[in-house]
Amino acid sequence: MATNAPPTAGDILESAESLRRGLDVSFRDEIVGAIYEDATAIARAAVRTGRRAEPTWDAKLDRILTSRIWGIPIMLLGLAAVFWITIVGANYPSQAIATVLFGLEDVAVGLFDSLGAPWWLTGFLWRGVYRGLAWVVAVMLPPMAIFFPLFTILENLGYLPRAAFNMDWLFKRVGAHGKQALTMSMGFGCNAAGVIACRVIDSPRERLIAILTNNFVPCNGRFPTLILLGIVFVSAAFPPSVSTFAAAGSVLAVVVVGVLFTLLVSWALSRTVLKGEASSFTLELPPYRRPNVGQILYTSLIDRTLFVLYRAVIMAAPAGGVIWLLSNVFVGGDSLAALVSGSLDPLGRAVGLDGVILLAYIIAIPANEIVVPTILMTYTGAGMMIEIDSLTELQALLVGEQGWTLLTAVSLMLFSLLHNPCSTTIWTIYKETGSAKWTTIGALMPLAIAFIVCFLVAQGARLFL
Amino acid sequence: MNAASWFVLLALAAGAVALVLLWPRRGLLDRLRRARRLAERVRIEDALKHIHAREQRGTLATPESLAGKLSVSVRQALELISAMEEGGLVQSTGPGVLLSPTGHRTALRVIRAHRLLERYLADELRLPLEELHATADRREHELSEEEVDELEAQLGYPQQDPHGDPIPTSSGALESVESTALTDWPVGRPARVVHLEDEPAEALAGIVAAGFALGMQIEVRRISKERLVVWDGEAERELAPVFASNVFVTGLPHPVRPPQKLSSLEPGQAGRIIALRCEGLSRRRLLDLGLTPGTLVECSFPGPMGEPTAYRVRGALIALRREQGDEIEIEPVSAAGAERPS
Repeated sequence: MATNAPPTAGDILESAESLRRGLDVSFRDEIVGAIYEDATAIARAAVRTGRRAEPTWDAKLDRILTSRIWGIPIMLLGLAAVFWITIVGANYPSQAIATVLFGLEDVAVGLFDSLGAPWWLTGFLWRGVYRGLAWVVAVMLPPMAIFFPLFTILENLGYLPRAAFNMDWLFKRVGAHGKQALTMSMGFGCNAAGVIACRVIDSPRERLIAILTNNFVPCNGRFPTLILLGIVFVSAAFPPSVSTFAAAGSVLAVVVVGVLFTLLVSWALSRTVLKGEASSFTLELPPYRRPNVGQILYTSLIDRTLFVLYRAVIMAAPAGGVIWLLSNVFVGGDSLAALVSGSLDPLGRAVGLDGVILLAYIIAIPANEIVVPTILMTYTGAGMMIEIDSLTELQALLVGEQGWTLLTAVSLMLFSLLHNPCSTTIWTIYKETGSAKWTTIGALMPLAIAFIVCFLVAQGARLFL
Repeated sequence: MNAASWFVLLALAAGAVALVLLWPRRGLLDRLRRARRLAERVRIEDALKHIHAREQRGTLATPESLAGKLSVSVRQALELISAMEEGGLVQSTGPGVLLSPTGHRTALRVIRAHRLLERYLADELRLPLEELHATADRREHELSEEEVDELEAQLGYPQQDPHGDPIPTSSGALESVESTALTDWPVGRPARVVHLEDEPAEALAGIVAAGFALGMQIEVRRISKERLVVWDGEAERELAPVFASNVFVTGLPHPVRPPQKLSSLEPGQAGRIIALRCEGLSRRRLLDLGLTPGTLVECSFPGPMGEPTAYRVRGALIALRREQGDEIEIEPVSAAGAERPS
């Protein structure tokens, strides 16, 4: 400034603007470059590096895990192994927890009865709300407590980024982000967690695609349904020694179908409503590390398992109450559950299912874990959710009495895979996108796809088989 | 039903209809009024942009040209001009319509919003180049001056839109860029593409499809009535003259040098980064990862389907798709240099 008067704010802004115009476009590069130079100098002064061993084992491992021949088979085998360990390992603790929690229920019911509480209060509170809660805990907690640590080990080892690296060419082809492979694998644990994980994708368009399609990865809550169908319709055909492998295999097949739908819907979205070019894809492949046990247990059990379980419990308790009411309120001799499922039956039949299954899915919007017990409850006309222990009994009920066929099983597997996300996930989509519009699309688009796909499969099967 | 209940029902229905129509701000009447006001503003702003564009080209807008541009009748264009004259935005003269200082400022404000929006759509949402203009044309009228300033700051004060047009500053300064249409450029003289005209969008789509991009180094090889053939250092590209007239170039002080891209490296080869050829989000990502000019990068290994490729950068392993590799310009470094990181 030539004058002696202090410059006004306007003067300063004006001179800043003219100076900005004179800057070379690359000045930002220089700033970042200077920061990195400082960091390099500090690192050189502080860190001593030994002589690099020739081809490090990191590099060798990378050659195998990302090779053209072995990369994808290793990934699928690893996934199958994780499913198998979860299925086999969750079985016993699940039953133990169920025994304890349901035992507690009987004690409480006995106590209420001895205090002279009215039957409907006891029924609603303990046979309804509490039982729904106990069911979700028993079914969900053990697989999550196994699945999430396994998953976190893979994450800790540094394998997950390699899986994303291997899958990226697929996502690139459908106009999505390679990191969607990471959010998908998170979705196996819980779709709500998967939707939150989509924050790692920094382009808004591709993040939205990842959020809207996360639901096509079956979560822990849906595995029980898939596993049950796998056991009743697939592994029953195999000798008992390999039946768990057959169940894991059929779940893996459903997962692969889910991945195909993820790719298909991502492709459709990125060609229509979410049109745009693929954004920059940069993925860091960290060095392989020895997993840190304490950290794994903390992240997987506290951060993931308990968090997801807490949300599920909040949602499942009212659903348990609703189920009890539906099956214990009678109108003209029929329970509400029978009336509603009767009116849904034609729609259910058209898509290869039946009214009871659709009713179960409506009640199970808060928590998909309770689909199977609700179906069994309605079929048997019991006043509460029930479990059937023996496989032969289950087959007799489903195939013998209710006339389930292979088509029912396939349709139910597809419906379970494709239908609308649970209410926790829907709420999470709303929190993450901040948009009622995208939340609605995220909820209704999968539902429509599920109905269309099941309808086509059912009609096709009836036509040709 | 008796007459009294019919009357009550009718009154209720009438009340409901009145509420829907007259509710302040949410009612249909208010919505309609707002939509009309916005449509009026859109028409005026579009007209100002047209008059400004004409002035830049050294001609003047006429009622006829305005009618053509806005797809209205000449009579409506005349009415619009007289409305704008009353508002002190323009001034009619013998040869055509002139912008008043206020009109000039308004026009620049809209152009500024338009070009910043294009920058945003291209850099952050990665919309294809030929779709930017139409979207920005719709949104430019909805932004307030403060919102435009905020957008500019968020984008890091860009100076050009994605087509190479300068962006006016908030104080209303607009640089002019010297450039020549490719059809008027002498054969054999090296040039750099500095501007791709965005209207009509069909022409731009043709230019993009022929492989032309901003910043590209080219040299005209042959020119005839049917086609114009240019050399970009690697391949020949063809364009019909009617499209080529929408490509603008300036002189290049050296012969055409095809840039070497990071994506051209084979595993084991290394290169030093010269420049990043991308903007916005992608550029920030690459800089964050330490891919700054001068950095040594070594190609490590490709993915199972040949893509993406993992590169060794400052000791870290970073995977990039081919498109990102294409946006990074390098100079090759001999393999011996790669072993001693500088």
